[in-house]
Amino acid sequence: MSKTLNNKPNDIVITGLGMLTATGLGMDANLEAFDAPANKKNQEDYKVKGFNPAPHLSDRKVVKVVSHRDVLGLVAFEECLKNSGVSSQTINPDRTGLYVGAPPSSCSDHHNYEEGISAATDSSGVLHEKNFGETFRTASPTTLLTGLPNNVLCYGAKTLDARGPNSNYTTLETSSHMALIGAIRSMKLGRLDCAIAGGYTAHSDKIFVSAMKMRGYAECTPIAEGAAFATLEQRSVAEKRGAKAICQVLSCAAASDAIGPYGKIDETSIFPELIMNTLNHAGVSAEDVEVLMVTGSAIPDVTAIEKSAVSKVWKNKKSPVVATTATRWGNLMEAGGLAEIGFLKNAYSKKEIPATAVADEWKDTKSAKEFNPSNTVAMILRTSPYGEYSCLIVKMEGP
Amino acid sequence: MYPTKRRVVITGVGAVTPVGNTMTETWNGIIEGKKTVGKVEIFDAEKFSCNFAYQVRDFKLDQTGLSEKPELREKSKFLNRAGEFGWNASIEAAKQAGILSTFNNNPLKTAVCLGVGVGSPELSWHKEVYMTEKYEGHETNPYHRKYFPNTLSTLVASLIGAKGATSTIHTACASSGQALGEAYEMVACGDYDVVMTGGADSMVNPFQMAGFCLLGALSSRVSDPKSASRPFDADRDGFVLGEGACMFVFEEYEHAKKRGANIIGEICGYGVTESAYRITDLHPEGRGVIESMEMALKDAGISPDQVGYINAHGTSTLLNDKVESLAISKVFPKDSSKAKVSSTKSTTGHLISAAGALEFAVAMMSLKYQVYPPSVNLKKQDPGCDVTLTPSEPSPMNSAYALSNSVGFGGSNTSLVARRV
Repeated sequence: MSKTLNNKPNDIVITGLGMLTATGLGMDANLEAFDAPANKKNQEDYKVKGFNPAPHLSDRKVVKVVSHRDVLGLVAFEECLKNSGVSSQTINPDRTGLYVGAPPSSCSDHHNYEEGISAATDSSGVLHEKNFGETFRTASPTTLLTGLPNNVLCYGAKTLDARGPNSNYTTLETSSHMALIGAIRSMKLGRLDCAIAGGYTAHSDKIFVSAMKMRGYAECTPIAEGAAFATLEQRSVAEKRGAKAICQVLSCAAASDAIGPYGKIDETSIFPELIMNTLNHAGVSAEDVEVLMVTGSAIPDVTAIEKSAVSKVWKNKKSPVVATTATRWGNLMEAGGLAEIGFLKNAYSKKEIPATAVADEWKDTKSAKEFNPSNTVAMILRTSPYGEYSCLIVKMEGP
Repeated sequence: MYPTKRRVVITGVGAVTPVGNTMTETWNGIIEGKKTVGKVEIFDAEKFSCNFAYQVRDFKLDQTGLSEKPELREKSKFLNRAGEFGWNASIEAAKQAGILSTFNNNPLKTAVCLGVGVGSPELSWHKEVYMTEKYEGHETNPYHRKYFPNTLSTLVASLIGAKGATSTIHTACASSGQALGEAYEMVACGDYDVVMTGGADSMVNPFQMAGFCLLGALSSRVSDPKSASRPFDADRDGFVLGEGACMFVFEEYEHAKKRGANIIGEICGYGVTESAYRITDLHPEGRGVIESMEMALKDAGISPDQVGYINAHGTSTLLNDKVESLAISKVFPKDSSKAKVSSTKSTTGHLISAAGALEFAVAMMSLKYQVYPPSVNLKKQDPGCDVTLTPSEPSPMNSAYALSNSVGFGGSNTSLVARRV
């Protein structure tokens, strides 16, 4: 026995984008970086510093109760609302939802307890765990809340008054795409007219960077701080309010080799099959893809698996131009995957893929100079070192 | 567009909880009203305002799958305490469903979707390594490996040979309820035939107990911990932390039938909303919780009067129980509804990210055995919680449907409907 579902058409479009990185706030500021020489020299340069979030937040007090990474997410979220013209006045609250890709909690979330830890430590440096039961009270009463991985979902929903289905995913580089997949499912089920999906990240704290170095990833793309969100709408809903589509979402899917930490991906990887299946769902062929955006993390295992998958899917076929935003924005981890839509919008508008977006490892593929903007199908891949993959196919729409 | 919605049945369930290290032990413990709460043993919590919790005891990591797969054995070292509970519960569920090793003719149609807690490093590690930045020689630092929540999801996928999406969800106390809901949709919509789903969490550690104490959320009934978790009672004063995991195998009905799997339950409705109100507080009128239950009932295609049992989120905090009762009474008016309500947190404690999964399992088992789980520790019902609670002893039930609620910090609400098979 099966039930008939809501039979609404599912022409889902993206109508707005918001972004915040060390390069700047908003898509335009971030895209300018591709027209200029690289100006970030080290990990520190990829941190969002000296930025005053208050003017960009509806609820300025929130800055006091959430973490730095949450602030990045909330600013990009509100930027996305502005960019798409979506507000609590334009939406149906019960049919609007947030889908967020969030980073895991961080050791820095326990920073407030450090005074208590020191107070529980005797003069010879020995920590007496038992005493922490009293000394922790020097921490702020809301310390636990600062570290919640769903703060952006919560405060974002409150800002927009979005009360519909929602979710919050933590799957490293594929997080934003997982958020998109969740949002699309709810839209296809007829539960949502509008969803804000995206992700935010700030893994650039000292422990994570240190761990990356210990894994021998010192030469990989720097881990960046930032956030990016996209507004998804049923096309009919967007048209009704006069919003213009940036692109149509043709398909998005995820898969995993389930290797977990420190695993090795071999030639039996499921990644090529995922790409083929996503192409089939989108109703396009590999040769239809004009631009392929890759993760560009420069983590050796990740680059190798992406290159292997791409070479298998496009074997003996006309290959796409391969680009990555990581050359200028760094590895945006959970925030990557949707910001690329802004890059694509710009490229199609200017009829040019900047050479600065072609990573060294991909220079053996089709030249950026051969980009054909009349072919509007583009693909965005995301790959995590845990062997998690996602694939998004979009059809760009006119400027 | 999804033209039809497929039936989703449950072919495996496993649990590691403070009342038992298997699903059967857990169910029996809940029905017996077993009281396992006691002083925190995992660390020295003597000076905390709440120094007691429901803890998993006599636990040993299940070695199934590890001996045959050396790479899995190596990776299982990266599981934190909650991850180890999740691992054992996954093996129990997978064994029951018959999907260990021999299964998986279509790995891309098999996925994992878990609700996992935030994890926390040890206090001494934080002091000696993080605060001093002495990372060298600490290659196994917990932040990098043990506390990435998707470690468990990817290892569970590896255990059953799943190559579909490995999804890790965190919406605080709604995490695993939401994971179950999404897993149900993933199968119902045809994206997957089999999904391993559930939750795992342990917040019984210095940092997170401190956090809850600072918020004033935990019971401080140190003189009588055994009766501290008392949902809907007039004298409740906060929740009591628990820990554990509960895992399920969700499977498309025809797929399960075709391979001769034993069907133990069915999930037929899912509701999910955001209260869009405050981070810790429910909307005073139950906004969000009401819509979540209504959405789940609509999805299941049933009316409120068909539901016999509601496993409430029922944390034993003043606000949650009052507002949830209000919401339940609006969706299930006492004069027309036969639904009885209980919160099994009085027996298990609050498993936080794993709570939704465990409590859906309780709802499913109550249908299977047609027994109402007892309202343990209820001395005097709060008149402000105007719902029909289950009796203090297990009692017979006659119903085909049960509903389970989860409500999380951050405003996510989920409701799941179980159907008797």
